[in-house]
Amino acid sequence: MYDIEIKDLSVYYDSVSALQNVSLNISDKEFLGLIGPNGGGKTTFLKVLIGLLEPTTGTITINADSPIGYVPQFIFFDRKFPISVMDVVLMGKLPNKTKWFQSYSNKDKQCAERVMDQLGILDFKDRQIGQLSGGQLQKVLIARALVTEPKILILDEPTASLDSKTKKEIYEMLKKLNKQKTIIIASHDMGDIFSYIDSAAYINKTLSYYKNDTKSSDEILCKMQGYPYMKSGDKDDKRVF
Amino acid sequence: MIREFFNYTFIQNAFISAFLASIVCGIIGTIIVEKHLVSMSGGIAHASFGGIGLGYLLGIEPIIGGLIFSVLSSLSISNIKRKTNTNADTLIGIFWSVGMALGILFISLTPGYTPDMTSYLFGDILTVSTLHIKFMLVLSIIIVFFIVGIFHYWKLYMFDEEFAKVLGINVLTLERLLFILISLSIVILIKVVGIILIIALLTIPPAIAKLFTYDLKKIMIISSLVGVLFSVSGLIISCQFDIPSGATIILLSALGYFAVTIANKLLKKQIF
Repeated sequence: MYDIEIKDLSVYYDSVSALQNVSLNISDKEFLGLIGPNGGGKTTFLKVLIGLLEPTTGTITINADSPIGYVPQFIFFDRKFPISVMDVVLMGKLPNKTKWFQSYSNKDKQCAERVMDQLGILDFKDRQIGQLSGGQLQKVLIARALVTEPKILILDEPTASLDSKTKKEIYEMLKKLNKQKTIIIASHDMGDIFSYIDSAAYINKTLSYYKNDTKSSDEILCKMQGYPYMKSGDKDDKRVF
Repeated sequence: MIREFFNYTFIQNAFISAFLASIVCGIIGTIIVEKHLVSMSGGIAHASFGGIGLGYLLGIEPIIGGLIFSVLSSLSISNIKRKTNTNADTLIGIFWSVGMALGILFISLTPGYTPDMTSYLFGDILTVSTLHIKFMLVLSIIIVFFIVGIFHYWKLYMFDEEFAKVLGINVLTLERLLFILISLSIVILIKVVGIILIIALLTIPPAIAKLFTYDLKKIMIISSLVGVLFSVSGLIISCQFDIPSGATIILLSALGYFAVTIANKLLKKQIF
């Protein structure tokens, strides 16, 4: 049985098509990379998966008992918001049925600390989020998703605007998590991502799926006709689309 | 002289209402500032003027009319925004001025002499009646109950609505509840500082509190205390010099804000 089964999915914003007839099955413990140009529908695809957007047509079946763990891009957050790292991570423990006058249990706190320790951010637990670097904040958001104990983890551009050392750290961390979890990651980092993922989906309104058998980016990228590609290690993170 | 003053019921009422208003301002004001709902709150406050006018026209308590108008307009803004994709800013502008226009129209249609509206526009804390105090007390308890009772949910809602939705939390209900609570606080504040001056009392105390702490709960508590300090001392000054209370409270708060900000900057410079 697949973790996620997507059948003939189409999404329209008013009359503008964002995704057309996308079908895809994602296996248990698969590490899937979503690639494609900006505005090609990667974010739309993720939002439909986690239920923030309704598909216009088609169906999505998710075969997991726990909710999907979702990691948004850290750059969209108000870094001045008065909240500590610990409080952000604990948010993952809020029950969806409203409990009045509840506070987090010691078990919740221990779980949050354990996850933070794993990700190497336990030292910052009392800091306000504005006092963190981008990479640290991204790890906080990953920790928040992990405390929900998800079977499937979805990340939207987790390494955007991070330096290459931090990028590598995050990918290595995800690879470890991948032993227990299905991971779907949207990314611009064409070059870097290929040594980690099992499969790639190229999304530009439609979706093409490739098995990453060789773990080498060149072959897959060759198959994707006309996809502009910059090798990792190129200056900055500027892609020309 | 102050002690003699306290024997009067209207002075006691003034101080109680200043106190209640400050608590509400500290809590709701912090949320408004952090959730970027300042102009939205201004819109709701002005829209309530329509209800106050209607209250006069129909011969019911104007504050009740104001309460109904502010609740309805805040819920309408959120609904219309969702259904039509109209920019919230535009809608707020429309409700803002339509509310004022309706208020003026209703008052002109009210038979008999034209009531004096300045106490609603600029506040007159000395005219707060015992009935008002009871009304304010009930509304304040409702506000504190709903904010404290599900505090962690508010924090998540303010910080990251999207993640709240992913967790399966009903964000729409939280939004509606918050808008109702904002409307209630505005109604509490109308008599104290008036429709036009409300925004200052909602935003200045949290702005000062934010200089001292990064903790949301502490910001709310400090804002409330700062609010009490400014509104009570503003009230005393206005009584002493026989000047309008609402305007005195606001000007004192603004002065306090600038003083604290500058002092804060100077202190930091010395340390580094």
